[in-house]
Amino acid sequence: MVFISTTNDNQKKIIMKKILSYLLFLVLIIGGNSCKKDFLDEVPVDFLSTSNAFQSNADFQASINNLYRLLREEFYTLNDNNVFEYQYRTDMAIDVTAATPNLVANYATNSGIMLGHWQRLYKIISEANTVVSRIPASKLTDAERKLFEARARFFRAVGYRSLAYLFGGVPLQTEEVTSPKVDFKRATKKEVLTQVIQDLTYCVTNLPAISAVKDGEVSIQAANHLLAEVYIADGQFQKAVDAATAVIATPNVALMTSRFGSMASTNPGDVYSDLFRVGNQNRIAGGNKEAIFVIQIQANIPGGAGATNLGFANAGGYCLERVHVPLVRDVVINNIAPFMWPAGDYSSGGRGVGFMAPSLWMINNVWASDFNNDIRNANHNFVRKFRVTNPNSPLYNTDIDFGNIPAGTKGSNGVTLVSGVPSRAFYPYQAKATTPYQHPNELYDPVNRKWPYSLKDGAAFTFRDEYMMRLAETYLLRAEAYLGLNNTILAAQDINVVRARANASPVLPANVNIDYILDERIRELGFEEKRMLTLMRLGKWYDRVVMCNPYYAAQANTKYNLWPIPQQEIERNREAKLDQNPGY
Amino acid sequence: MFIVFGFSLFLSTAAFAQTKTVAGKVTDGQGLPVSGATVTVKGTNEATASDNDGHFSINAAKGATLVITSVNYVDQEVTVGNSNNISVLLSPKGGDLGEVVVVGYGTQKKIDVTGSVARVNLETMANAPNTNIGQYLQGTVPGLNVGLSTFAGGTPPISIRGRVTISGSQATVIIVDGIQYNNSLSSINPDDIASIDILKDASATAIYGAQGANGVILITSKKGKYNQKPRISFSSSYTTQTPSGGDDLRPKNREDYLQGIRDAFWNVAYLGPNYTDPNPAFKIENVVDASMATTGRTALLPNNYDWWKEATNTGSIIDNSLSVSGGGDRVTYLLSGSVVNQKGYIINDKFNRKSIRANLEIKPVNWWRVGLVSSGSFVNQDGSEPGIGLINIFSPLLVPYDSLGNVIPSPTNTVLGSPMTSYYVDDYERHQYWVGNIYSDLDIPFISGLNYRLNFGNNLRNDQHYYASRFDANQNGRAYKENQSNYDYTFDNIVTYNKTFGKHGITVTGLYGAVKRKNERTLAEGTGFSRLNLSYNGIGGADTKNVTTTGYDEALNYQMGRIAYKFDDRYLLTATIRRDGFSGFAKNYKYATFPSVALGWVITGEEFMQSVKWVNFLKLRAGYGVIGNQTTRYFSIATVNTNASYIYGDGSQTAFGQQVSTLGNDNLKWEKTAGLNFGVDFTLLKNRLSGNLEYYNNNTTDLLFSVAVPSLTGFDLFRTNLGKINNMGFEVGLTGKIIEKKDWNWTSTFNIWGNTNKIKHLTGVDANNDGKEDDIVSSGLFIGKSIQEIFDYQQMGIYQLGETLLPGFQTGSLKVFDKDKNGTINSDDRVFIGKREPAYRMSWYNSFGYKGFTLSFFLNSVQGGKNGNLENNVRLYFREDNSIRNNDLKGVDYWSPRNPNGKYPRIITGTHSTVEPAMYESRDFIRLQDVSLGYSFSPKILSKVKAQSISIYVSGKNLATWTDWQGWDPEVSTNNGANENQGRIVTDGRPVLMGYTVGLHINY
Repeated sequence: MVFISTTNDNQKKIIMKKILSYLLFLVLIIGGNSCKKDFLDEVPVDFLSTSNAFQSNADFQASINNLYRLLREEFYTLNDNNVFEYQYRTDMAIDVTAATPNLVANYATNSGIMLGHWQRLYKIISEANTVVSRIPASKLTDAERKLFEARARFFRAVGYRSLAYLFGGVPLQTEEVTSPKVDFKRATKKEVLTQVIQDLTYCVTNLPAISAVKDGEVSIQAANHLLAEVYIADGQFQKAVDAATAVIATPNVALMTSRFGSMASTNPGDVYSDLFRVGNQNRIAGGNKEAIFVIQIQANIPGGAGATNLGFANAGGYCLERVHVPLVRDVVINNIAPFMWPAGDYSSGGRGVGFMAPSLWMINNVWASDFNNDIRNANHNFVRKFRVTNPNSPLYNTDIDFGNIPAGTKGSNGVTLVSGVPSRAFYPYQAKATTPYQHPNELYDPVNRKWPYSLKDGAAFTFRDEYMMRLAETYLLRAEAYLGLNNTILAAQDINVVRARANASPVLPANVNIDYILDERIRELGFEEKRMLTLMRLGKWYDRVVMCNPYYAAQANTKYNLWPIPQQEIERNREAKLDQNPGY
Repeated sequence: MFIVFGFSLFLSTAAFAQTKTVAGKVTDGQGLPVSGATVTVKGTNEATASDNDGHFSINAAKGATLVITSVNYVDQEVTVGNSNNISVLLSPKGGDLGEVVVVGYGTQKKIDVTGSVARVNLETMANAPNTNIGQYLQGTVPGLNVGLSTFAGGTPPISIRGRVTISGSQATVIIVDGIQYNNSLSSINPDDIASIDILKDASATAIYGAQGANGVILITSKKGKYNQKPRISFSSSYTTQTPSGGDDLRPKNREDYLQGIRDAFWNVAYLGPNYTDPNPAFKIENVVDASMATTGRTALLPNNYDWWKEATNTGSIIDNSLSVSGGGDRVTYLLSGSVVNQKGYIINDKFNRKSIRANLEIKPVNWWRVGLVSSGSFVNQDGSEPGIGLINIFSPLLVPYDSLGNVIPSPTNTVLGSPMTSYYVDDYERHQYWVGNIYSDLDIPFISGLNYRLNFGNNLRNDQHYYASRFDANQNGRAYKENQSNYDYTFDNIVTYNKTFGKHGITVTGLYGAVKRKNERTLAEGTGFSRLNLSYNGIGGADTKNVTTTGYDEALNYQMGRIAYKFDDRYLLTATIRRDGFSGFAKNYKYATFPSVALGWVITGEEFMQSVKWVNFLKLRAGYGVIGNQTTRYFSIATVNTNASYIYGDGSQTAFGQQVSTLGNDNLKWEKTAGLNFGVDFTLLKNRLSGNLEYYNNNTTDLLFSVAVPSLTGFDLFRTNLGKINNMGFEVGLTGKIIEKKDWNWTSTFNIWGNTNKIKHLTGVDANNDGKEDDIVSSGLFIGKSIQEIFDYQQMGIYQLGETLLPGFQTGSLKVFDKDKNGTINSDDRVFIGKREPAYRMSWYNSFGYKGFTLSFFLNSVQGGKNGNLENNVRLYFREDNSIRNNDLKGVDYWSPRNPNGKYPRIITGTHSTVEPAMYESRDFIRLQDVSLGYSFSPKILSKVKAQSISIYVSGKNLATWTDWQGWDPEVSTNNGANENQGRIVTDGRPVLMGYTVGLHINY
């Protein structure tokens, strides 16, 4: 293979031809067909896509199941912090670990508090929108279409209702978002509430009745209860009365008035304490006729939001016990700790760590008229006297009363406890925050059982189903609506139904006003309702905090009647301006 | 998949003269053929050129002088004698420019390369205790950025040139023996590596098309040679592993810990107004965590336990490898095996790798070679570390074991488990890597220069991670078995035509290939065990069982053509075009095409340069190419994830749910980088000084970006293409043979390189109507700034006692610059502080030889320039349960009234301030990365033991680092991977290890 290097024109031509033929060859290669047409098709193997995940009944049910999860997460199980933002900074509670609050930081536009709720509520709305938007192209029957649309719209209503109370008018999006929309505009609060009312009206027509649903599922009655609340917020009081009446008049829905359920024969106890015993919340399983919408929590089953093996660090459970029950571990009298901690009894209240104490208003003022006869203030419901459980204490088996603490008693960080003043280690707590003697077996410490009902270090959750709505609140909502119609007689009647069950003296119509109803809600629904939503629904956040809660009052500001729109959302909404709420 | 092809070819015929025919072969110093060398008979017109194999034949009479010239080699004259066979050895003009580098789908002589291609000098690191190839690369090549790993056997972060993407892949493509390698570099035995080449610019990486945007690393394993007698190599080394510096970053002892608590309670523990005189009424036993005082809080526990000591030991690396290589007429072989056993500084930070390799090639006939490149690597990382983050925060007042020697699961009586609970577990972690590449290399008979090569590469990785702990799951016990397998195949058809026509040389390469990857993973987990006797093999006995299965498939399909043309060894042209398809892109954009062209001019080949004697070699290069960036699979799909959602009613079963987790984008397409590169390669002063300069300017468009969208869509991010960023940089590499004497030599290599990144466009929208395109503030992207620009609150020191506070701030917290001076700190007060990326990097290698001794050291440095190379190093602290309970690092300069000049904040209240700004500090450093002293035995001694070479050495790694950075290490946090924050002053950081090594290499 030898080539003589005497370049001439002929050879140059040949070379050029060759280069061209090579290029042609390359083009042939490049234009070649791939081995199979579908070689590059992308088929995910371990997840679905919106294009194939919304066909059957089971598909849509899966989305609805997830909506229940999202709702439970936002209001109950996210962690030991964010879900209690519905209680902190209200008239009812104080942050007992900090000497002073820092409302400026809490309500800053970059605060994670606002952003977190905004994001989670809008995720509920987004998932609900997807269900609604995907129904037309699905293979569902007509009956199924209506049912799933109603279910989805219930969750959307909860989402927008909460946003409207907290932020005022927010952007209204009622269809699935499939492109990166960045030009949202705020609707008015009225428009948002109107949308909520439309959704709930659809639910009332298309959801099954409470007698026809599984425990934990939403029903006509749940929709009507919420509708009553939203009508009040929208100033449509007669419609609110009608919606509430529809619930109250439902056959076989009634306040529980006699003892029932898993600890019906345990004393001390009463019907109010029975409402909060483990297993007693559901209609079918617990025989509870008062329950309207119950959030399902069950220990040690995937989807139950109550793994006993996680501990609060992994969250995922309802941390009310951890957050609300005082840290009695730190109580010391004459160098002896009177309480065995942690224990599943009333003295220890499970494994509380004392973050969120009741306000003095809740401890004292609201009970003034019926301190001793209102069963809701009985010691097994609102624990003020703590039985000494340490056998080595000279006070063993006697009670230490929050109102009469022995001199020289020390609490957390060695501070001297003062009778009647909440301190992290010692303050009255709502027994409904825990489950005395009813913790899951896995949480008791059988190996190192050091004292009766001793608990493992991982205890933190309240292992019990939770009322999102129960009939006692429906009565109080109707009372509000009657008050809105200036009918204090009927308002008093409704309030007194609730008070009668609690063995409290009736209220006179003349004494019924919105503050009275708000106090009654504390008595009946303390640490159960989402207090922030109630106060902001009424625009009463500022008034109530100033009136009832000196801990926050000095830093209170009328602008906090609405939360600021999260700065991050304003920045991300690049192509339109989301107006900030006044004052921020 | 095979392509049937054919094309007509002009076959040249040879002309023969009447005199005697002399045949010969021209080779270079490495034994490789030199094609296109001109052979003339001195004083006549008789001339020929060597063919692709270096062969030539020419008519010449006995006694005539043959002159052999080739542009990049020193001219050679040979006299024709009796023999009709002549061997000609040409020595390259430009020193190592004669070497052959791997350029992807083929090789090229370095002098012919038109792109920016660099070869790693493996000699530099030969004596360093590197268990991972990544460590070899640190600082060796300008433009190649390699960070640090703090784990035994860990792969450091690697990147080439500047960051061309915002949220696309930043992974550099790694090709091992021609096949893309997606597994961990930790599986490869560095002793098996023959060469590592780095493709940097777009014209060079364009042959990898859509994957080339982050550069390409080409690794070639060692092979045997034909007709080489068996060669046995043995290497062995022992290395110690201790922390390099970071002495301040140890947990505090008892006294310091308690002082920290007093400082946290300064408003109680000290008396006002100055809070520097102790308050006699303050009793520390009242404020420590309950677990650290006696019941009733009468006294503190008496312990002063050293958790750090419990969790650490002196580590070591023992590395042994053996290989046999050689070849006969028809077969070459290389067999190797190695065992590496690394024990890190933290107990159970272990890495054990056994690797085997068999590289074989068979030549059944002269024009056909078939071969196998195969390796197996077996990594054992059994055992679980004590939680290093916990070790640093566990109080010295607590102890890990009770009086019987049993582990106390939770010394603080909280869910915070003892760090030792993660140590006393059953942990089985194995990784098996199998590589089997078969190739067929066919020189098509009768068509000289035409070659067809088929590569069929197979990679299989199996991972097992089995685990059982009685402490987990709230002490109910947990066990799992996780099995994962990854398989990929590559099928490449490569046609090469290589021909020289007089002064014209041409190499044409065509490629058609496909890649398929498949992953499967199964995790079986159980929690709640009455007993764990069967460990992870008894998951069936768990109360709660959970099984997770995941997997993915992805595929690539591509074609590539390349023409490399040269004229007279002076003018070089390379043009490529590649078409790529990837399954991960949206259905409307599966394919894209990536062209490139590059030119080279060997100036020293010109007549006018012949008189410039001090310039031995000078080449200019210019290249332009378009390359892509591959995104993650499933990036375009609207994903619906499933979860265990809910239960309806007490005692009912799990109701599973589904949630839409991402928005889909049917139009998601390739991210494209168009790059211009200019380079100069030179050798001066009788080959004493060589080097190269590079300048590049890359524009990336259609950036794959997850743009932040309002959460009210239900989503956080949307994956899209937008904007344009520019990367501009330079690279300088210089090597000088400063002293070259018989017994003495000194070689020095200095590299410096830098990159500037700038965002040119983003969305193209001007929504705020200010006449300028809008920034994306929510994603931290600003036009005209770097993508790593820091837009944040400016901290202004610490609020001292008595100082007026802005609302929402506390004494001891960081002050924030109130830009708009309105008395409120909010997002309007953010300012541009600087940028995260460094301005330039440098490395300096020196090697001194004296007779058999070699001393070398290697310095590496990263520098930020003005307001560059910054990273957040803040320590947030406010007084609450955890900060009192937890220990912290000593030597961190906290503020307190006793220490008003303290740098880091310390707040007494239990609430956060409105804004707790990051504190950005410079990460500049200079590191003495490697020092080595070696001795090679003289031939006299070698002949006695019949060895070819024996050398022994001692070396040190990471012996010193000069930096102002106060965290664990300035370099560790350069990656934005999982260990991003580990280099800061954090309690879960890990020290960088330094080591001293003794070792030897023997070759028989």
